Amino acid sequence: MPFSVFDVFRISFSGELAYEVNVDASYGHYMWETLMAAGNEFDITPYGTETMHVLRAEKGFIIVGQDTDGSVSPIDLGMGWAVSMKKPFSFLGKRSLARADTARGDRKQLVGLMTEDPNVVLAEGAQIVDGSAGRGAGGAVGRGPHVGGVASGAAQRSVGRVTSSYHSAFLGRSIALALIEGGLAKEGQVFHAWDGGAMTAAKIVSPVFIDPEGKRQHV
Amino acid sequence: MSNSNVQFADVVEPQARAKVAFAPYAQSPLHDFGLAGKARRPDGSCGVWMNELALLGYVIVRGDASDHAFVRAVKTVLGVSLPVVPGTVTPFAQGVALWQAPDEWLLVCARSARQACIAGLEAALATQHAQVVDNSGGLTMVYLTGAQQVTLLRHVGVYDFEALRPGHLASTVCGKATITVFRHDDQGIFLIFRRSFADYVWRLLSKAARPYGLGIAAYDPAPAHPVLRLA
Repeated sequence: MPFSVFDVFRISFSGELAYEVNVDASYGHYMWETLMAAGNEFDITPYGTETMHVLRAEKGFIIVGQDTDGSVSPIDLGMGWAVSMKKPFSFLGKRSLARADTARGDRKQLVGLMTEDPNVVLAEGAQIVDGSAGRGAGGAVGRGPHVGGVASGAAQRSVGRVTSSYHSAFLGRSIALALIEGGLAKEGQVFHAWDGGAMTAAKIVSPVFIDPEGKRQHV
Repeated sequence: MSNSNVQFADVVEPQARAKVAFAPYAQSPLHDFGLAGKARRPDGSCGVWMNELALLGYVIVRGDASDHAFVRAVKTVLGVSLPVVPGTVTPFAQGVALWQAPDEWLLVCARSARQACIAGLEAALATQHAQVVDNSGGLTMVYLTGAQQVTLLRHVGVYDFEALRPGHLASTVCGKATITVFRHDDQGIFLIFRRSFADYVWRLLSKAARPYGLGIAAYDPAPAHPVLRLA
């Protein structure tokens, strides 16, 4: 064998059925050409990291450091399923998840956002303000928290931020991920994203926009 | 929510089974420079001569140099003791052993000798706290000769390259890339660097060599030379 090590990993960054192939880099060109030739009948195509990032966002897969920071717990991400509480003993990190601050119901939690206008792609970093105060006579697009279009006298504060935002070619519309206070319990509610002097109405939805059952990778 | 223009079939039926022959080839990271086609025997026309010694075997060995069992085990495989003097190089039957750190060495051998070398070391060190790692895909080597060999390196690195003596090595930087340089004799200097920086290092050396004239060298077979005979 010309390869001393040839590893195939069934692993997926984007929730599709996917593999990583590791070979001695000297054989990288050969491996690439061979896979492209073998995949020709399936319309194989290369794609880059920008595409990969959109694909993972469609699936609701986070990027640590972009959709999270050091304050975000697995519970906040709706990933409590990954933390076993069935052990007869404690484990490192268990106590931190049960402290007064981490057990609060109004912590910032990962949600999906869909703008009312599917052609509007929210700015990453846009602040989320509470929809109950933000939807005044001006409708979805106002001119700022204290100017026209906003219910008079309603003080607004940030309840979160947009962490990832893209146009999804597959869905034919924009999608976003956000961290919003108590967001896991607010699916279906409309909030507003504030950026660049404009308010954009967006509804909280599941962060998994495509294939929630995981059919594509469980084949 | 779904886009009717895009549909993913659950099952793709191949119309015709692709026939792809298993004929793997290895490419050096400097493959696209076409160095083999440009090589000629060094003469006095250029101040700098260099070429890649492509696709060699690179094996990292780690262990405790003060542990006699480790030292003996490695010696049974290589036939020599690993160098324990910092910054030195020791030839062995299949290549050269480069001191990297008090507990780390880099073995350079022919690519074809790599697997036997690794298998021998792994067997000899099986019961010990030691490590043998194949790094062959990650590194490459350039041999630099000519009257201006040291001048060239002085342009691209901070080290006093004129101080490099036969049998000695230095790990330093070439522009922004880490390189290891070593001498076997006064004829030339070997440069080892990462595959991922190979394009950068080669272009930097080529550009820096321009004022002195750069020749791509075809090196004569050197069966007695511990490094040149590996290529």
